[in-house]
Amino acid sequence: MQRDSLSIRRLLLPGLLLFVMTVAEAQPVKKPKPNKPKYGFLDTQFWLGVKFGTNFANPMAQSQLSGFSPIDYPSDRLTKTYDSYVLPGGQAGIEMTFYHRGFSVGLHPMYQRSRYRYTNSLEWNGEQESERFATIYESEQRVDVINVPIFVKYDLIQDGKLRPFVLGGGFYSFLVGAERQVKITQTDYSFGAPQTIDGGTLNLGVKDAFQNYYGWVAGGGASFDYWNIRTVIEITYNQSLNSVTREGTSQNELSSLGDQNDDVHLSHIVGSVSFVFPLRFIDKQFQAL
Amino acid sequence: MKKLYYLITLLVLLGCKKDDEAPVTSFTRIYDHSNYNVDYRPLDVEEGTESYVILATTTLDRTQFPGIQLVQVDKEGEFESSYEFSESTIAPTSDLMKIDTFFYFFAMDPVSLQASLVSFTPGFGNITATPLNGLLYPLAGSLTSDNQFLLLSYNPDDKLSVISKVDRTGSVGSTAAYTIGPGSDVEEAIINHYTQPDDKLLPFFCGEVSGSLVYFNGFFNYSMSLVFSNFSGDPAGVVQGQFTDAGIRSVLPINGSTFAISGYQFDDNYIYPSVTLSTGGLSSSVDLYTSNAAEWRPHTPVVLKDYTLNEVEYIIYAAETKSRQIALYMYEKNSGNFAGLTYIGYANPFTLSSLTVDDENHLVVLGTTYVAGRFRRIFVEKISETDMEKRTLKTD
Repeated sequence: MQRDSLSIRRLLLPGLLLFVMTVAEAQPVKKPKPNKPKYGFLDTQFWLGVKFGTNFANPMAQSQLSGFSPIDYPSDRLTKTYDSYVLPGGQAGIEMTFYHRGFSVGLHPMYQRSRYRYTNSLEWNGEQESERFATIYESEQRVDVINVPIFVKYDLIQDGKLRPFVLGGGFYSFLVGAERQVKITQTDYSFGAPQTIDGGTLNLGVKDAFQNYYGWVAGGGASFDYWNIRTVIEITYNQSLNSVTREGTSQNELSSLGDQNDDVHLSHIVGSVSFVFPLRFIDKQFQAL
Repeated sequence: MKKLYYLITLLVLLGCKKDDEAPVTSFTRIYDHSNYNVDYRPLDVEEGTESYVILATTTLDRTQFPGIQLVQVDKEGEFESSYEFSESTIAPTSDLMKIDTFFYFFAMDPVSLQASLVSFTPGFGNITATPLNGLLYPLAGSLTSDNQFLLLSYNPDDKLSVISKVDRTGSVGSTAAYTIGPGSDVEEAIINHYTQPDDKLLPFFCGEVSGSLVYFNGFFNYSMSLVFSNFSGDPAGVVQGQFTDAGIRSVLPINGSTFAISGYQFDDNYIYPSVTLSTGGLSSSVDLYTSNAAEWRPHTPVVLKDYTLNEVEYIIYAAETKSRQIALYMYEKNSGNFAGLTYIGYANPFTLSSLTVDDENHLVVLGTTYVAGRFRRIFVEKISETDMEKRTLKTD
């Protein structure tokens, strides 16, 4: 049902290659530089800049719920089918990082939009061949949050222009908005031959059915120092530890369609690029420069 | 820079506060059946010990009169079981009543047209149908304060509207019969009421003002009239309607001769959350009409229900809107002032059948929705007390 394993591999492979290439490329420049003041400058530093990128969400339904309660058929016919790591989302924000001797602590508040999709279907039959009708609901969920992650990062190579790193940490996401687009496709057999009918598309505001969430994050990447700018390329995996949906809510627009939020934990594969600048004034050694 | 870090840390800590308590008791359930031709029409819902019981009608093969279906769902709204009556008991009135652990409703024998009192226990045990001798065409029922029943029926031979008190064993006590007066027969309109419930359903109902004074909405003087009775030869009072074109649609006694009512005047509807009716004289519903409740669809059912929230008494007016939603209007019972509003339904059409307030003060709304725009299915929406406050008493 979920196609996550294939998709994870598809996304992680380029990240791994990038990481290996970065490490390999970084080796020749590993030797210490003679410029002691600059080396010291990089030993302890604050970095500030902008960060943006894309993400792919994987909804992990902990329980399957429906607004329908079937009278004459098993409830597993109402099961939703989720697509994983299919729809791209995006994020943009600022990066604030404090670095000291290979370790960094970073706070990267971002505006993030996640997108995921699920489908479910219903069918009715009578005694006649023509007494048959089917409908498919294809729902695309968009969740907007202010995501506040706190990273601890370790530079595997601590000098040179290319610095691969690994990171881990946690995040808290403040819900800003949630919208759902429901595309309805119907197949009617009463015309003799089956006729597929566009049942329309509904755009629903469903913020009340979602909530703030939190979780953990891990990943890696590399930073590139050119001119006075550090460019950071980063791939992370994060996973919520609580449900992004609000339990027990019955939102009119959803329930009217027989839809009900599952208990969904979200994971993401996130690719980001940052451009950060050193804040020199904090290093007294460099105030004279 | 430090200040910025402090600010963001503070934001994170604030965000870590526990979210608002989720109202875990609210739900909406649509009871789907995979049969293309199944068509349920729910009438009323009552709370059982661990369940809600739904009285519904269903179509029968050999008669145009509706059959009877019972559905039981659990407190979370999940379907548990159903029971379909044989074709020897048909045409239930719209009132499911509960005394102790027994449920009751009135129904009819399709051959003799005689009314019967049907009783059963949760899980559809101990089902019995007790014939009520001499009472035909049951039209409405209600529970009285002394745990008996009122039954409104119609006598087609003598053209009488009959109000009777019936006890739990099916024994008929006090009865009053009032002629519908000279003129054309109303039997056709009554039969249409049973067989064509989707087409201008006539608002038959009955209830109790006080121990000695009861009321019914039925045919009197050839009109759908609100009749007050002490079970004596003549009515105590009458609010005269205008044949089937105008009259009172629903009533809720407030105090003495003060009532909350809704009425209809041809295609228009009107509301009085607090009005004094003449319970001891003759008046006309036409005089009550002032302005149209424009949001409501013509001939909508209107259900009135007492509801208390934060120790304030309200009256809920539930009705169908022209956009095929269900609107729940809240009025303060003492002042009659409008207090709030919420809606049920979106996209697919929704129709209203009944409201009930359960032991935990949750509002349970019963009706139908047309799944995929065509298959009529029963829905139950349970609105928790917390959600009632959030959804209806909005101050913004």
